[in-house]
Amino acid sequence: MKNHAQILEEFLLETQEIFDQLDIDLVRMEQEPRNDKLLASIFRAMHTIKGSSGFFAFRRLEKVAHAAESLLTKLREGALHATPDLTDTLLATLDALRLIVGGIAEQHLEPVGDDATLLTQLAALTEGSSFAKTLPNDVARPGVLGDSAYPTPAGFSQATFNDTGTRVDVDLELLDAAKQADLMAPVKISVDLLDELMDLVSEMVLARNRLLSFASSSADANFSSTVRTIDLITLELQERMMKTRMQPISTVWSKFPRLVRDLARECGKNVQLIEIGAHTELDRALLEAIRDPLIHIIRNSVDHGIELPQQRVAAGKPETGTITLCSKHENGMVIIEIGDDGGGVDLGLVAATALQKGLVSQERISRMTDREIINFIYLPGFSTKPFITEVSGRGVGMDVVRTKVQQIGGAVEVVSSSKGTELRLRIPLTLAIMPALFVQCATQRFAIPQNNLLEMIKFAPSDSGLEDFYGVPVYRLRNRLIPIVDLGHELGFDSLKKESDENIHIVVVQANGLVFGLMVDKVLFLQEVVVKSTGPLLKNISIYSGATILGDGQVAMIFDVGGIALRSGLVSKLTDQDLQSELPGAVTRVAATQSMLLFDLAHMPRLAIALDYVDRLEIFPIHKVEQQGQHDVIIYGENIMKLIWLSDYIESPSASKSCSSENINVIVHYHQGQPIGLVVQHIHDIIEIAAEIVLIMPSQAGIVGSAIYADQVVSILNVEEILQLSKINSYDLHKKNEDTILHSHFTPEGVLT
Amino acid sequence: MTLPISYATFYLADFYFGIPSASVVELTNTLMITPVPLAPSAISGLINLRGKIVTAIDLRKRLGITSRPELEGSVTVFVNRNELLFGLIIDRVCDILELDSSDFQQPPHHVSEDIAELIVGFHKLPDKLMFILDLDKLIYGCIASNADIAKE
Repeated sequence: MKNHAQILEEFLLETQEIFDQLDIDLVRMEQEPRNDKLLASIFRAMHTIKGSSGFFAFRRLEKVAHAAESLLTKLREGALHATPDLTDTLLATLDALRLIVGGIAEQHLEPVGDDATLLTQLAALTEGSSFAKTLPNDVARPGVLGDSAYPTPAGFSQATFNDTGTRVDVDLELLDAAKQADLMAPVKISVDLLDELMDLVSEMVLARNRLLSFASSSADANFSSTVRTIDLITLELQERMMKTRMQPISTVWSKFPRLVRDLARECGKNVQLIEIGAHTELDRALLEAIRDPLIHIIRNSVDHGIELPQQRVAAGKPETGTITLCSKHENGMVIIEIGDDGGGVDLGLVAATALQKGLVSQERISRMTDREIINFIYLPGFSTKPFITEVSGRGVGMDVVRTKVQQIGGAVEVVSSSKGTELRLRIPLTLAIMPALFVQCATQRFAIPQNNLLEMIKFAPSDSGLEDFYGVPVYRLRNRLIPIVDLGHELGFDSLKKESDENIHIVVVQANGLVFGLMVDKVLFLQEVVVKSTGPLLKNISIYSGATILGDGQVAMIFDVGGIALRSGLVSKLTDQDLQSELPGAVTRVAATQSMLLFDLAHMPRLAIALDYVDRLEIFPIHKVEQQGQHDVIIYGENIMKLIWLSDYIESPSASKSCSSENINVIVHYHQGQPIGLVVQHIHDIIEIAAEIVLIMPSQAGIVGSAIYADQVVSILNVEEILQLSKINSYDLHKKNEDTILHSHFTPEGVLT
Repeated sequence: MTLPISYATFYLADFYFGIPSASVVELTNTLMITPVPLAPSAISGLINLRGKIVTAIDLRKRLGITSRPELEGSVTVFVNRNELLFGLIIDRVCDILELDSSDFQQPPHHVSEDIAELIVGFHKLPDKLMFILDLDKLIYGCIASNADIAKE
């Protein structure tokens, strides 16, 4: 038998859930007043609260819930319809219930308070319908709800049930369902325990890595196979463990319909909220971190973005404004887009405000792009609102949004026009594990978070791309000047001079809207790292964001790129010298995509080859393929083209050459002047893939890594490796070419290009 | 009658030190240390102790004793402070000693102020002196003792 405290605990938890659901449902009810199912569910929710409060003898709670239930009865019967005022009252009731339950949670006693006004309001609304036949008289009349006139809870609910016939059965069914759910109920686990488990799994992954290196040098087959099993289980364990930290974004969004409605009412606007992708999951800690920024953004959209109804009509827009919330996974990040169809950011006003506040000179602003002007809204205290409203205008909005999002390794972009404003937040999936690029400086390895990474450049010292710009070394990259920070110098490795003839490596990074290059000694590899704290003694060093343990058990530091920019003095130097204005690249992002040709193999769909390797696309009838030595060849123009059946190198051998059709699709690549035909099953299209390629561990023959395109994984072909594996070299080809020059008058059968 | 206190004792050069053995978690030969550029000089770097990242403090540097040529052969004492592990790099370990606290004396006056701050007091043993270290000051003092941490 459970004790009272335990049951109370459950009651509090349950009501909390009911309240959250009611928030959503009540707002929906206003939009869909004739949705009977919805009304029934709202009624049931209120009834449950009333019933439970009766059980615990929370009289105040019961009274309010009962009055609300009476009103809902009317709504459900169709005697009344949801009006904004009515919804307001119901939402106010909900708030009152929350307050009472909040008090109960704190003191385990019902807090004292007076709900007379609310009860009168509810009763008045209930009575407002002249044909109130099923309602008990004492509920309908305000003022009769005093304790003395109030019947016992049991008797009361009996009355309600009698009035509405079949509802008793419905509730019984619900009760059954509740019992079932009780058995399947999720287990509550403390977050600390989850974090500890996560730590243990990370350790296990590292131990597994060490084990793998033993296994590869061991001749014992049993040992190797056991290690492989452990490897698989560890991988699975890690994935599942990550899952436990994930929650759908709807846990944050669920508050928004109510928020939007209330704000819109306050501003005298009509706004609807559309949610797309509410099931998108991200790390619990991150969800918490984006809650406030999202609320800020939505406040801004309702208050500043969406126009008043008459303005909207005048502008030829529907009277009701729309805010769209959309979230999705993209390239291992979560993208959250918040769009409104309002008036957009008034760039003129922003520019004028910036001038007025003395943030920028008239001369400078005339040269600024729209995008640069929009960046002013991120400045602390920047508000174009001439007066402060209840909702927003205190000028603490966008800078808070950006700071918070950047704190968790994300980024914010704004696109605005007279048709509306769209904010795009890029949030990493999790903080605990992230991809990072390892670089070497002197003898040490360091990790640069991939979020900060734009591109890598390598050049010979003779081919000096480095210039001096007001004392800041800069590199000219595609006509943009990028300031360079010598990492070795920053870290105090000056004494270890590198050899002058070694290549110079620059990793182009971005942080806080600043793009700059980090000069490192070596670029090593890309790897997922488990981020750990550096401990209390080192956390003051701003250039590190954490530390991680590598596969060989060594610790490596993870850089905080923003901290490096600050420490190097780059930020202040740039503001001093007005370098920013000379560096348009500091504001615009480098396009981080590359063109790829998407194709399938018989048993392995979605492969991609860099377009640089694709010279032509051809279709040949299969009977044109000839055997020459160990190779399949085909006559192509004036050349003999050697064919590489990609399936031989990438798929399992059994799958090779399972060519069902009469024709073969060939990607032609000219290798040292000679055509090489890569035989594939099916060619799709040219796509743009993010330049960030995830390396696969362990590596697969013929594949560089994978990228994500349209929510699916695409494997990227390693052309160089395939060419090597297929033992094609120019000498062989030339020789064969001479042997078979006779056939040169043949032309290919079909040309797809 | 006072209760005896148990000390883990060790040597740094010719100096004999003790720390309360209750705070000692384990001892290892000094493992691979990753130096942390820009860290205070007394911090040797970070150690991976079975998946935990532990800050290692070179006690010779911390106490201003001429530094040893290399870490090889040294021993790391892992101590628990506020649920966090720290590694103290020492020359060699000695016994666990149980000493009566009545035996305890305030820090001597002839040591320099910097060092005196890190010493709680000492015990006079038959053949030598054993200095008792203040672990909290020893560890958390590392943050403040460095002016180079944050330039900005």
